[in-house]
Amino acid sequence: MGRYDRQITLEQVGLEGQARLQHAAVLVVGAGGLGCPALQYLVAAGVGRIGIMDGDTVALTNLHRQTLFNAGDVGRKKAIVAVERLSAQNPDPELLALPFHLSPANALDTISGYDLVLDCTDDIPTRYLVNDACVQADKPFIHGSIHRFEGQVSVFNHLNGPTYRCLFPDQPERDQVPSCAATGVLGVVPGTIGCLQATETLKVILGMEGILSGKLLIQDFISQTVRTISFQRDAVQVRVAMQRDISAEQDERRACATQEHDGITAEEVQQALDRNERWQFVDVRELHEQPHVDRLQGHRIPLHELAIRIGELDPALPTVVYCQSGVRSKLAVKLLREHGVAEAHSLEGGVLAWMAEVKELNT
Amino acid sequence: MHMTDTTIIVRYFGLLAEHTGHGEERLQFPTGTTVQHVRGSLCEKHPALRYLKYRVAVDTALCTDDKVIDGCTELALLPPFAGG
Repeated sequence: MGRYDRQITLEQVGLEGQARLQHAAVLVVGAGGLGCPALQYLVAAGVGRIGIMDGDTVALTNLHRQTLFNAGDVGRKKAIVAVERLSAQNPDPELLALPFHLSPANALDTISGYDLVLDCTDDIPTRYLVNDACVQADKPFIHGSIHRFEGQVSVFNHLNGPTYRCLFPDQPERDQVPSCAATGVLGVVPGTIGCLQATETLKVILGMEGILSGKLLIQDFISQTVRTISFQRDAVQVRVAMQRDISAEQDERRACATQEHDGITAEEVQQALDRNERWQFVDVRELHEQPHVDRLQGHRIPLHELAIRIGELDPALPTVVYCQSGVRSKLAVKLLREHGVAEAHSLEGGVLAWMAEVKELNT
Repeated sequence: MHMTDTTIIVRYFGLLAEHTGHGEERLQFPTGTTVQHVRGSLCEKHPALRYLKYRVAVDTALCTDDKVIDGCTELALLPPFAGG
């Protein structure tokens, strides 16, 4: 008695609502920039049982946005540290650490044990996996995702509402949509979006009105504009999710390592340079992006200008295209090949991978 | 400009803004133009769009390619976001 008084006072909560929260079981997939704030508020509100699923360990570069962790946690499993911190915050909820990634092998089993799921992950294949497993297990899930200064929130598969595939039926390849590591992120953006996910979670548990089902909320944190886009359930896409044979699949993380690619590794580029081969380098990042790498000096053509500036390149030279993480450069390679630069390759993992592997940075 | 042309604001979200170099642009299309036609003409202008997956919303409702944009004011190009 006492801890939840201020929310019990609300007409939409009351003692009955508080009991609903206490009896709810929620799975949070991903304890990162979105998952940390979402977890803090769900635990504070007294949600009864919470599974925290994340296979990653805490890294120093997580700390500016993943507010459950501190410097002493670096190297420890996020799911385990999260349970420690959250149980100190509120001893009431039953917290379970699941210190591994959501995979085709464990998705259905894990999700089946909860009433609803928060998708706080950070890559596209896992988001489709969350969708398909939730559709098959008949669980609603609360989606949150960000790109730089923009965020998206929606509630999918809620009371026969639309699913993630109804909104985005064509699954992009993993490397077509960059992660926070590639684009950069200001902590408050996932912080805010994670809080919105917690808000929708509480609304669903409490059976409140105005749930973002069939609605995609898009927040732009620079102009501070919020848009809501409406969309419908698409029976074809629900069937696609239902018919996916999830448990028969091998882990996508391993599968994509064997896929055919038109990339080149930092090591291969290094070796070619050591052999003094003549290569042409094209940096397709925006002009302000750092760092500059001396050994990769060449053309600087931001991706959106590439189509009109292709004439600046020598189509006869073997060409390495690079960006920050290898996403934009893959698109650039497709464009270059179409325009007759036949021997174009994308630097896998971009400048980030180059720095990590070659450590030959010169700003 | 023909009297019945539709002037529409095209807004690019997420990665699409970076790939087109625009957050938004104001464009004119003749009467009877469909979303499919708009997509085609945007792809000519910004070739990177051909390789990106996105949905189109007209005046805050998601729509299909056969939607006619007459009388509409805003067209939003929405890609999925990965980050978290």
